[in-house]
Amino acid sequence: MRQFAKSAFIAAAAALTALPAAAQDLTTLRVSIIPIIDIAPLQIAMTKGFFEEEGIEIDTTPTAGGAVGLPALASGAVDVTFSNSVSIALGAAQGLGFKVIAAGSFTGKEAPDIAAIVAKPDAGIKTGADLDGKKLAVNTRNNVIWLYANAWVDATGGDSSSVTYLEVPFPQMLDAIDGGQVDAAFLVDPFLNAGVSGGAVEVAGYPYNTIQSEIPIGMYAVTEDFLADNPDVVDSFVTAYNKGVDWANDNAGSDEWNEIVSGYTRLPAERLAGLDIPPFHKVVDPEALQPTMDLMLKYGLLREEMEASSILADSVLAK
Amino acid sequence: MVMQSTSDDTLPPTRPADAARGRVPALGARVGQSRWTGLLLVLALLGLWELSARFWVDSANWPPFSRVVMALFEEGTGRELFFVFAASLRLMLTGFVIGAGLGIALGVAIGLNRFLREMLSPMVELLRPLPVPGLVPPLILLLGIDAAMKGTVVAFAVLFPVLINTAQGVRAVEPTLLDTARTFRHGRARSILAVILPASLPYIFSGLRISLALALIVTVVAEMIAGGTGIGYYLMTMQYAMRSAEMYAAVVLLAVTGYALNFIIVSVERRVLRWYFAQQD
Amino acid sequence: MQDGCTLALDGVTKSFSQGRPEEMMALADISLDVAAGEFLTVVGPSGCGKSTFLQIAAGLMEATGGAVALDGRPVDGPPGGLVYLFQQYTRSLLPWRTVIRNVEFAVEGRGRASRRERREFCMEFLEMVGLADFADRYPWQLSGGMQQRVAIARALAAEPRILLLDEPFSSVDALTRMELHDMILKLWEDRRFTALLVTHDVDEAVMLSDRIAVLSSRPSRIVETIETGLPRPRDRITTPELPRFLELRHYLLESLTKPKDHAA
Repeated sequence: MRQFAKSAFIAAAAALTALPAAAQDLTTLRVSIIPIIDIAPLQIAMTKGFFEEEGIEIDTTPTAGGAVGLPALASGAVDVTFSNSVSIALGAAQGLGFKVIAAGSFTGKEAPDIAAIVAKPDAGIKTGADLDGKKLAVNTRNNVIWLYANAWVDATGGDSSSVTYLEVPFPQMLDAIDGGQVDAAFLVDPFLNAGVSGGAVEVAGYPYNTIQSEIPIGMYAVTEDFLADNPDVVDSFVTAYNKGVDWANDNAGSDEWNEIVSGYTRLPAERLAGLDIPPFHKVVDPEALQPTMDLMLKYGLLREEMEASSILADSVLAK
Repeated sequence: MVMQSTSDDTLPPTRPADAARGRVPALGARVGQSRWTGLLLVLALLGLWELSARFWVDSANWPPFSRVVMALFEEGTGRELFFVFAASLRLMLTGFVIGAGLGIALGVAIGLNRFLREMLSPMVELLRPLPVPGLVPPLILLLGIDAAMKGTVVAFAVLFPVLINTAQGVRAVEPTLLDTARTFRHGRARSILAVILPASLPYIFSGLRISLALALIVTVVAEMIAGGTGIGYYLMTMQYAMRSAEMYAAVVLLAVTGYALNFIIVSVERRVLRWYFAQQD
Repeated sequence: MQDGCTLALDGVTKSFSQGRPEEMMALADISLDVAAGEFLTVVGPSGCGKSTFLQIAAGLMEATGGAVALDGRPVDGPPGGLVYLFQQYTRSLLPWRTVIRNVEFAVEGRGRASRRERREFCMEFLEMVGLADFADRYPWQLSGGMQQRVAIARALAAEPRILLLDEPFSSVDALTRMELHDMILKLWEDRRFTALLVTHDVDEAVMLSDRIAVLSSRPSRIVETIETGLPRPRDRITTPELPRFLELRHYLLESLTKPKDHAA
């Protein structure tokens, strides 16, 4: 009903002011999100009206991560899901037909990064070799964090198969280290920043950076069917989203930027100000994504090789 | 009392919820006394919370109780929490009413009909122990991620305690009551409405009490999994925003809500089952 | 009010667990004719199957063999015009209903009387048993004797043409029992329904009945039926002093305590 009233109002306004045809009829897209900093461009594009300019209305549904967002995407409960490269690739490998239409978040260009393996300052953990036979906290097993934790341990002289991975939610990781339940944890911002600046933990290494610079992690996916049936809507979504990317990069750290981001993450402004947020991108280079697919094969998440380009739609590739 | 010996076996043999709820069987002064002791215990624990957070436990996730209370009265928080709780309670009550209604109806059917009982009890026993998180992924495929899915999860959790208790209550209905209804030539429907349901109410209420507590928990868990409203979502968001004082403010309110809900249902039970408790005393 | 009706049992047998090793014959070939408006009592020793007999007569239990007929019509379920007064009033009254609502239970679903009419109709029966002042109490707030009076009022509110009484006075004290005897006799004399009582209490049987049927122990059969021939109205003081009363009492007690002599 509200939808109808809104459409009716816009239609009436269009008749009076002769707005472009696209604005007369808003297409609603349901987007599954995780309310973290990574989706700042989407929230910015929503707040700044970029989607409406493209004739789209966004209806976001927060979920507790890819475990819900992607099944919801597969079932058609949502049209677009923000998830991570590993979960999307796993779904695609299971024949769910996921396609990435827009880039989301990337790791940093150089250290210090947004995610790190940390331990108590006096624990003497500096490399993967120091973690042999130890306990490492990851938020979820068999996901992107777990994958790069394995890769880092092996890349820095350790043996990932000797490490015990324990599932600990990010907010509890510092307590788990403090309480001795784990020896180290793969922590992300803002918890990483809080833990390091408070002196509770020290960084042992930046697993993403150690493997590769600017790894594409978060991304927006649709199903192949949705893409085939709604190419124009997808194009409009990507156009509006990319405007949000530009705005986010141009205005990073501004008051308005902080206001929008702390508005949906509920992060206090002072906490947000202390974070170093890498720039957002519009394009996912298949070659930048391929190492992640290869690691998935190496650590048993994939049974056979997967071409990164096979899950990337045209709209996210370089033009 | 004259009737004690003949009426004993018309009463439910076990009241599983009683122990959990800590009902005090004695009347009068001892109840008042233990209630004060209980309140003192709560105050002592809150004091321990305050002291531990100030002097012993150094964690961003463990704010002193006084800070939690302050957060509750900060501008906007109380108002926001009101809407957050309203959304959750609405979801919870919807699921509760649907689940309890189905539970009572199915419980009566299973209690009365041996064929149904033998056909359905293996399924009930298989489905009953399913944990909520395990239930969510298949339900997302069927029902999406909105209120329909979450309401179903809550109703599902509510269903079984009510169903099992109702069926047990129906089977325990005094046969003489049923014969009485028969000799007055009351039909099946009137017998169910006028005899079987009221006679099973002590059991049904046991189920309802267990289910109500369960419904609140399951609602919060479901909201943690998906959706942008409710207590569960608020808890998650505040936890990830490192705002533990607000998070615990919601937790404290959740505890108070749980206590209030139980108080309400026990009061309703006391009223509706006056005849039952009067016979027991 | 309609007159009492006749009840005829013809060769009724009852076996429990039929065809299994634990098979138990409760009733062996019971034939009995209860005349319209008559007060007939079946006496028998404890455990002789009196309740089984009465439940079969009421259509609450199926007989293994034989036939039951009410006014000539076969009984295959609780028939209209028949009301059963259970031994344990605590189990047959609805504890969640007030006294008056318990009486109303007898007539719910009959006709389209309004709530008020129904209540007024049922109040008359509460008045008959002297409980009008207790209409809005709950059964469990009353003494045992009062509860049984509620059950009697409820039974009569159904306007039975035949009332089956299953040891209804056995779980109250002796004085209360006498009061209930007086009351049931008065109500029966006023309303002339057929009454079929089972009891193990010989005094009660003699005091109330026109005719007494003596049941043997298991498997039960009717040993004999005796006309009491005592004058009515009966009086709780003088009737038991009559020679005929004492003679019947003596005879029945003897036959019940030495059942084998009679069966032979």
